[in-house]
Amino acid sequence: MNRETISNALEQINDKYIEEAEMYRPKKFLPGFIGIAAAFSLIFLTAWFTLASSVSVTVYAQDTGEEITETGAVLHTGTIDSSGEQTGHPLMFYLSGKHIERVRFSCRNQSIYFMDWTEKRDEFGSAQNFTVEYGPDPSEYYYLLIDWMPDRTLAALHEPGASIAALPPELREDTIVLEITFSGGKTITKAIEISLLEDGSFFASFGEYRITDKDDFILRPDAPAIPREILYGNPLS
Amino acid sequence: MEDEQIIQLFTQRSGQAVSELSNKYGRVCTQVARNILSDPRDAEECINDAYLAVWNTIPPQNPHPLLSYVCRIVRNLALKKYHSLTAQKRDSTYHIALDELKNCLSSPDTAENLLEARELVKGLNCFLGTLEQKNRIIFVRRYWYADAIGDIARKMGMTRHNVTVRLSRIRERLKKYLEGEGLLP
Repeated sequence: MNRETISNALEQINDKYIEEAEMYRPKKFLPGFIGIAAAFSLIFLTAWFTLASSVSVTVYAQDTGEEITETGAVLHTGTIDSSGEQTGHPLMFYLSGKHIERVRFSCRNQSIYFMDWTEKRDEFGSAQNFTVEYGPDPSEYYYLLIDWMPDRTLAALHEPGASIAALPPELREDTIVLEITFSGGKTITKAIEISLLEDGSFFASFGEYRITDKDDFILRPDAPAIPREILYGNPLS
Repeated sequence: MEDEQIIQLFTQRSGQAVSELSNKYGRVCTQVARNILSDPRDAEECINDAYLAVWNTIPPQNPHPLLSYVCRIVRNLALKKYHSLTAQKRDSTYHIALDELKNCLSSPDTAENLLEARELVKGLNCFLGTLEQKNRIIFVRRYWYADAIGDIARKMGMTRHNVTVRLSRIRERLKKYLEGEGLLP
């Protein structure tokens, strides 16, 4: 299918969609007291009735939908080269599970970026530690994305004479710890381990994790949330 | 001024018709033309030609909605100009946006595929109907209006990153949808 075919097809889309796209103005997210009360009631009731629920969590790579398992696999969503150029997103993922109340994410060496497509939750920009409220609706989990960004590695590769093979371990490996709390109060700790391979691709695995005294990065405070008026405000209005 | 009043001015052959049309839809017309044509002079010429085309077609036409009627004329004229220009223009937002879709929907250009182009229009319209409003608007802004990602982000009150990710998922959904409809191999 060439550009002309696609262009011709686009040309003939329905008038109503063209008009809708031009007339749209974003709504301000203004949760009323009733909405907040209802949301808290729903969370409370869900928690009450799901004390003995399942606590399994799986991780999927965004774009490919590939599960990141304990065995691990080479990711196909992004690479970097020796000159520090990045293509795609090396590791962008979402969680799947049930009754997840909140997850605290801690990234050892690089930074991570949280995006909420439902626009209900706080976001934190580029950060290393933050907590995301997942809530009772598991269908929303798909829209909660974490993007791992190896900025420090890219910066190091921009230096003259740098190469992937010569990078120190802290720039070739990283750990994202997930402290997961379920609605019944049960907690589990898991981690995604990421390694940069010499060909510029990334290998990742997801499994159980035991926090030790050496894991100082867990103790860093959570990043503050970006104010909603900045995150969702319309600078043109 | 309401669309009906502007159309009435055209019907009455009033000199005020074009200026009222320009007042109401000049901004969006300029945006559409500039997204496709890199040179502002080309875009300006294209918009003037579009106003003339509206003048020549109303009456007998009585378009509703007027917005999409004018925008379609601007877009068609801009595309004609775009295709007549050399490769030096191929850095426009429109070209980049089309490449995103082309990469998503790539398949060999067989005669059979071209025959199915008509079905593609139908499939595309049906697909748009399945999208949540916000995602549909992002798709149309990107691939019909050829808006830059940053412009869409500002218009939607979202981050650029969020828009990029949404577009990536919409393209993936479109591909699956068209495959499901037998429009892609």
